[in-house]
Amino acid sequence: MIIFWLILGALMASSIWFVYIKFQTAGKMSVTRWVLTAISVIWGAFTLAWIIYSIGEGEMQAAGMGLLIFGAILLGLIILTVRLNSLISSKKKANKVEAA
Amino acid sequence: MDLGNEKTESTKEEKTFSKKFSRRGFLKTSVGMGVGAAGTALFGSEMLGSNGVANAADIVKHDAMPVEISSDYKRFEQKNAVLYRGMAGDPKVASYAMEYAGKRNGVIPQKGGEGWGPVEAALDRGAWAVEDIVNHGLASAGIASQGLFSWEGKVNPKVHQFESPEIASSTIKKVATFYGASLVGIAPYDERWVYSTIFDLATGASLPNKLAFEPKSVISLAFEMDYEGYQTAPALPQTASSATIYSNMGVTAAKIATFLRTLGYNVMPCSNDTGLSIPIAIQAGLGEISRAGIIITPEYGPRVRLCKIFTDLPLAYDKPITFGAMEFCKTCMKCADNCPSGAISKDVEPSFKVSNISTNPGVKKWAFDGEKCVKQWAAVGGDCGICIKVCPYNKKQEWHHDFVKLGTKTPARPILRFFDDLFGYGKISVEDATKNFWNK
Repeated sequence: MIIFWLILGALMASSIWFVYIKFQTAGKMSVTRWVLTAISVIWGAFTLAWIIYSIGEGEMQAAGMGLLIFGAILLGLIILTVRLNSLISSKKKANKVEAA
Repeated sequence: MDLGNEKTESTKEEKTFSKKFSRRGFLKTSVGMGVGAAGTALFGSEMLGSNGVANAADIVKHDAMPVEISSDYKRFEQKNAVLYRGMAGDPKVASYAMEYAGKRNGVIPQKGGEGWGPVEAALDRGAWAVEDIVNHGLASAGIASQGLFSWEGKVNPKVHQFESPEIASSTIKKVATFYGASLVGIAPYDERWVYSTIFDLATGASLPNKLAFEPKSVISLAFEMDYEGYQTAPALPQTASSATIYSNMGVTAAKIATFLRTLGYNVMPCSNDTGLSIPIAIQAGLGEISRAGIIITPEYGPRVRLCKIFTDLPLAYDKPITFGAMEFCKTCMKCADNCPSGAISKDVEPSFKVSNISTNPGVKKWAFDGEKCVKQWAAVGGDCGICIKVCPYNKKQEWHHDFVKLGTKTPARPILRFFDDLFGYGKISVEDATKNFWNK
């Protein structure tokens, strides 16, 4: 299971790094979005770990329900994170247009 | 034109991006962050393990027993325990006790389909082997000083003096776990938990409970029972899971007894005899009383078997603990809902009520009906174990279950049973569980 935790750690780091190079460099990352991203990554890792450990225990229903419930929450978090950015961007654009 | 401008800007951005993040830079940073995060993940996995934060943060130690004991509490008479009532011919339970004993000893063939086949029956018989051959099957039946649990043994006249009771306790705990105990707790000798009278198997009479010496301490031992075996409850791999512990605990108890005698101390190793194992274990800080009347430990939930060793060695004592189990039992009731014989109380609050003479009176708990329980034992030809199988505390020791255990101390407690059901814990069929048992 140590290998699993190593892979999970690498996945978490890669996810954060992906978000950084994809959005931060483009100047689209606010503090709120970073916080939401961190929560999403941690929640995603928790969901994945829950599923893997439940399968390891032979608790297939627990794995399935974990995927369904925790996965749904993760999806909500991702949507919120992504949409928050678009909302902020569109709001900024609108402000700029108004200012102009 | 606009599109063209966008394209140019995009190309510029890509170029800047490439300069800032070369492939080598990306790899180096990724590896660095990956190692850091993996380290954090490893740290997290250790923190949340069996001895991790989730368990430790949760446990409260008490100076006194965390269960209310009546001021007029009277010591329990062994003859009132349901199996002895059966042996003594009590018409309410005798036929069931005999049927159970017949199936347990192979006189009456086991029936029940998958999980009760000849291989499972042999598994069960094999699991009892040490208890049956060495202890003549009497230690688990509650008869004192049998076989490996013998009270007789050469005590070294040269007494070893430990530097302090604390050192003596930590030594005993190390020795006990080294010899095979899963959990060890130490309590002062408390006469309340010792039977006032013992059952004489030959005559069915009650005799005074004479101890071999005046004990100072009691070492309470808990042994984890097989998780996969218990998933098959009430089939025979479950019974074999408890039987194999009855065999193993004799071996461990004999080793500890010999260790202590070699150091010059008197010892009385006990299985189900002499006194009540559950209150002793609670006083020794191993766990909390549950709705089903059995102990729930933080480590293995209710999936343990207990024995105890009385000694005159002065030891440092553990304190009784609570970790939210009894509070959780008030709202959960999963064991009561799943008990086929209805032996487990569905009262919300624990009380001083008793079901029949087999309930130990004077202790504020949920009254357990041993008469109904033994009827179920007779029906399945084993010790059932469904209450242990379905208990939400009966989980493997993994970090994600620790999270849920923490939830039992929050206002979210009432919905945890719902989620335990939703996630399918304790719901596996006997057939599937038996297949899993053999294939894992």
